[in-house]
Amino acid sequence: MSAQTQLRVAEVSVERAATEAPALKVIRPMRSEPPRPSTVWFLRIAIVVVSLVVWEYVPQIAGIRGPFPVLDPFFISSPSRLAVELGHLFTGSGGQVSIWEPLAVSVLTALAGTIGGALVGIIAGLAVSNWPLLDAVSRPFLVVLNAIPRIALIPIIVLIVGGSWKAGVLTSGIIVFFLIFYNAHAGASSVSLQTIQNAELLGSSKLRVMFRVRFPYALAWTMAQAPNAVAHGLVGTITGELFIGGRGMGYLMALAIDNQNATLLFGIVTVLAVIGVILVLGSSWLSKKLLPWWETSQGA
Amino acid sequence: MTPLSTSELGVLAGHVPAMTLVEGRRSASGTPPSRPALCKVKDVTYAYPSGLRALDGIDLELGRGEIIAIVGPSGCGKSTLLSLLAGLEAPTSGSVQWLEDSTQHRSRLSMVFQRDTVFPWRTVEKNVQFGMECQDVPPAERREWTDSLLRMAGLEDFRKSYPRALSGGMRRRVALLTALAVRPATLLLDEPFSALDEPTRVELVADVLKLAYEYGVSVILVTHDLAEAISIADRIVVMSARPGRIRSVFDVGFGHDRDVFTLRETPEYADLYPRLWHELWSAIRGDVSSGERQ
Repeated sequence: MSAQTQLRVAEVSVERAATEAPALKVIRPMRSEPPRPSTVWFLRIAIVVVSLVVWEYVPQIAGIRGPFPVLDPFFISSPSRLAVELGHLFTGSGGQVSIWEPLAVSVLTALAGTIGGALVGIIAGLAVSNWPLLDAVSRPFLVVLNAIPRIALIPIIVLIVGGSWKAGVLTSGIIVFFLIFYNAHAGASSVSLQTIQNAELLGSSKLRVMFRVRFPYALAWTMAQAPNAVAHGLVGTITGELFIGGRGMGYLMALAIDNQNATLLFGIVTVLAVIGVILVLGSSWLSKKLLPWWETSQGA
Repeated sequence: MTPLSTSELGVLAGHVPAMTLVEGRRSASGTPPSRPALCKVKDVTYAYPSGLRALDGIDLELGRGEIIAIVGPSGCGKSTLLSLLAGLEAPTSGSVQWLEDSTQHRSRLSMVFQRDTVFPWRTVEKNVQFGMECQDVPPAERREWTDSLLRMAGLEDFRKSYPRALSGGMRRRVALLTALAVRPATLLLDEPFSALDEPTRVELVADVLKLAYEYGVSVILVTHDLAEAISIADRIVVMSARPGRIRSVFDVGFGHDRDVFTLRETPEYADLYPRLWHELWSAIRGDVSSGERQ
């Protein structure tokens, strides 16, 4: 085949390839679209509505309540009864005690214990991360203390400080301390060796390294745990009050149990859930305010 | 260039740059003909706790205002040598002596690490001020010095930004300014630009050169990049494979007012680069050193 013929054959092949080429297919990107907020909210509200309807009306069906006596409103109350009970609790009407005082006692106790436990935890975590000798000496003791179920300490705490609000504060404080301590320690220890060396070469003392270099990381890790700590602080307080009595929400719960009042119990749980959500949202807000750099770095 | 044996390295601080290489490029304000010594490294050996020797018989002198680049095979102990100079490690034998510097420098030395050491919780200006805060520099002086450094590095518009909002090159600039803000007599650079793209690296080398020249700072740069070494250094020290020894020293006489952006187009650069590469390649292969100063 001559060179000219070869060239012609090649041209024909290219033309044919061009005309016979399959139409380009649009390939959808692998990444799935995020769900629309309106869809998400619709589904959430639907779940709440369906749950309330099921809770209200299913126990009224005799065929279902018969084989499952636990569905009796005596045990699980109902949304309509709960709404009425909440109204009585917040207004102190209908022969019901007002919830405001027990609520204030429990929230203040939980906050005092959480803040106290968090402060002690963050300082201890920082110190242990900054001084290797302290870390080596204290580690086995902290492991043993952490292994003790915190609830088991409540009777000892009551023996020591008496059945007052102090016992509630101490209980929630101890629970929060261990949560925060390990996070603060891990955060402060996560600072790279070069960062520490750099700070020291720039003239930073050991104490300044602890407060100016390790502390921001310890705080960031602590704040990441803050919603959890707040929730645990509240649990510690309520559990303590159940043991101790006093004037908080735990006492109100004990009263409801004594009176076999499921509606009151559900009312208290609902209020505590709302308070828990408010505290968690508050700690998230505080975290954003205190740590704009951390928020940015996590979001990137 | 004048050949010199490695045994003569102890008196290299006062060397005269090789005129044949860059004649006509040096200005009157370029590298001075001699420099008093700022640091003397004498017969330094360093072994890890495992007994593995990282450095062996290192002799080196750093002159005031001098810029030395250290190159060598991976694991030859370049960064270890820098740690010894910074006092972060102690030599197994031999000594590192820093001589008193009574000039305007506030600190003996500062360092820019390979790893990012910028504090993410401090804004750009607060990062730059960290060392000055440690040294209790009055706030007014702190602000003034920070302003001029940020202006010089073109970061004045980012003073209130957190590091996360900066590019890799800008973060390195912040680390560099933080180190320079304490007015060190010597700046140690441990592969500070290795993770950056080539144009950014060249820009930062120009920054270092400008700042070092302006403030009379001596610099020791550890790098894998021969182009970077030639662009910045008065001398390039080539180390042998582990245990690291000084294999040869190259004089680079471009002066501190060199233009690093066009330097690579010059015949002098084209002459030096392959010889340096040959020496480094020989070091990597473990060839016997010529024992000469190039």
